[in-house]
Amino acid sequence: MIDRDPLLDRVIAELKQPIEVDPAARKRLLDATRASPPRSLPGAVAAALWRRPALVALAAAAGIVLAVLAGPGADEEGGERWTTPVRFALAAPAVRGVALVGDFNDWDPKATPLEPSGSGDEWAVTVRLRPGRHAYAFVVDGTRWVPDPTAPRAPDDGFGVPSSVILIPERL
Amino acid sequence: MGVPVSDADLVRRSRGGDPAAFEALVDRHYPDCLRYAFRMLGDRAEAEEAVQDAFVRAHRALWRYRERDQFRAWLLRILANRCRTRAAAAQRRLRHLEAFAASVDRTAVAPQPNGGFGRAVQRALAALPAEQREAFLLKHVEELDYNEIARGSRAPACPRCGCG
Repeated sequence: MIDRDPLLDRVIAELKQPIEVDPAARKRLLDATRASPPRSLPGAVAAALWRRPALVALAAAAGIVLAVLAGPGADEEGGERWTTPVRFALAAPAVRGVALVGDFNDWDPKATPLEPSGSGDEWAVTVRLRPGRHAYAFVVDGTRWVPDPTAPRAPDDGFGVPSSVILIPERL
Repeated sequence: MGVPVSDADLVRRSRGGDPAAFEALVDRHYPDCLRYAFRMLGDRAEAEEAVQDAFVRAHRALWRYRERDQFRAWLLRILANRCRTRAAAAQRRLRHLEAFAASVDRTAVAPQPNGGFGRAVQRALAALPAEQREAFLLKHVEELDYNEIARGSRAPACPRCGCG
């Protein structure tokens, strides 16, 4: 075992000294959080997510198909910028539901559900995305956060949950 | 004797819409967060804003928090990201102010030679590259373990469980 330099211990002890909390700053913080409530999943879903689901059999045949379909369209304001329809698909047999979450839908798991294919093995949805970089992931059965295993992984955004990234060019 | 309420319980109650539970989390973790942000940014007002920003983001994203993670480590990683962003913005501002700074009488603001051990430590810390400062503070001051630190860094994701 290596002895640590006593000076380093003294430095660390100095840095561990608490900084006095300003009650006004604490109040501003609490006011800000009240103005920005948690986004919520439906109660049962949130409870299941909280229980941190085990790694499920989902991965058995999981694969992801992402096809960017050519063709521009108007953006949501009907303006001049182009959006691109993008098909997100997840092979996920024997699950009850899959949702797409990303920076384009404010990570809302209720906003963009995927539809099952005839056999029920694949789930897919097509959304229109603006040009640029988008981070996204899938939420399976409302409980399981699944990044796209075939897409580049997005840099960690500090929330501790991995997501994927897609780049939409200005024009295809 | 009462049993302290765990962070996990407080997060659960916060998700259920209990503002007092999140307030308890703030009171529990604000001091450590403020200390970290102040040590990283070297400015109290910047530190308070970074901490507020981190708590607001954590509050909005509570459903993305997973119990296998320590709430404190999760929160500190969010804060570390906010500090990085603020430090980068401060650097950009600094570049714009360089011309002005060059005209300031430096003798009027130069650190005094016997400014105390605390100030010497803060100056030494400020001289470190931001990444090293962040790692040093998270490891030695906030006492996160290496796995907890790595989850907030650009370290490769765990290939087995994708917990990156």
